[in-house]
Amino acid sequence: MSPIRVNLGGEGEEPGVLNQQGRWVVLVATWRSSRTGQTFSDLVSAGLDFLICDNTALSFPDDTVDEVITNGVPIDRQSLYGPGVQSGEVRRILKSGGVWIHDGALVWTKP
Amino acid sequence: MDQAVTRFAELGTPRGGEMPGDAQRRAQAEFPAVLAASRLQPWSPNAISHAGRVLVIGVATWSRYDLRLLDLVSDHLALCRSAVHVFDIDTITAPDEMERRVPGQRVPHHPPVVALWQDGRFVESACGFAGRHLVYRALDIEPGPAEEFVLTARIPSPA
Repeated sequence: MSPIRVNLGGEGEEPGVLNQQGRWVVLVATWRSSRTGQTFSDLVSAGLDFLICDNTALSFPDDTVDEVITNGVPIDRQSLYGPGVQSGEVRRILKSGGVWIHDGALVWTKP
Repeated sequence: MDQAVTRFAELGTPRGGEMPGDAQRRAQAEFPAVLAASRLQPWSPNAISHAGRVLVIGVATWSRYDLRLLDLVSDHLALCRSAVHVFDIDTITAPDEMERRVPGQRVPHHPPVVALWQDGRFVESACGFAGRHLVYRALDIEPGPAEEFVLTARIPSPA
């Protein structure tokens, strides 16, 4: 089985991983990706995979994900955008030995 | 002795094994000092009353793109005289306040959040990718190399 890799929100959707975003990408007509300025439809048409769910309740069972990627996202903070990525959720969904890569650097490995 | 942070992008560099949330809180706390030492100006309610072109940029201190953008703009201001006023978007808690600072961007979908004013009159606003490109246009910055630097930290080689 292929490793389960998830990119939580943020700056830049990635091919080959499941890109999580909040509901705004569908509900806000003016939403554009931060890195390239593309619409959600553009990104889906380009073959990127998405998971639409809230940062506070990621749609993964405990201990199921091999790699969590976060790039340019608020962590454990509230803003006009709502709750940011929750480190508790990252820890919950990672498998034992799973890794959290933040802004390109390994920041945590789940024991 | 610790050296003072002088570049915005350095704020985003984790120190001593910091976890991301802690690093972001530290970056936000240190941001005002780096802003004060730059060629950029902290936003104030009088920012847009100045004559000439005024650019207002709201940034996220947790965004590598935004921090590099501020370094790019601050460096560029050594070559041209433009008024650029900056604020931390996470200090804004109400859409009305965001709208006041950046008309047309009550709840922007991505940072940076940018407004261009000319002689006290609002001209244009944008956020995210479009916001960066509004900055480039307003300051006559070549967008290709600028985007490469902002997105990757790489400085393109001369052609």
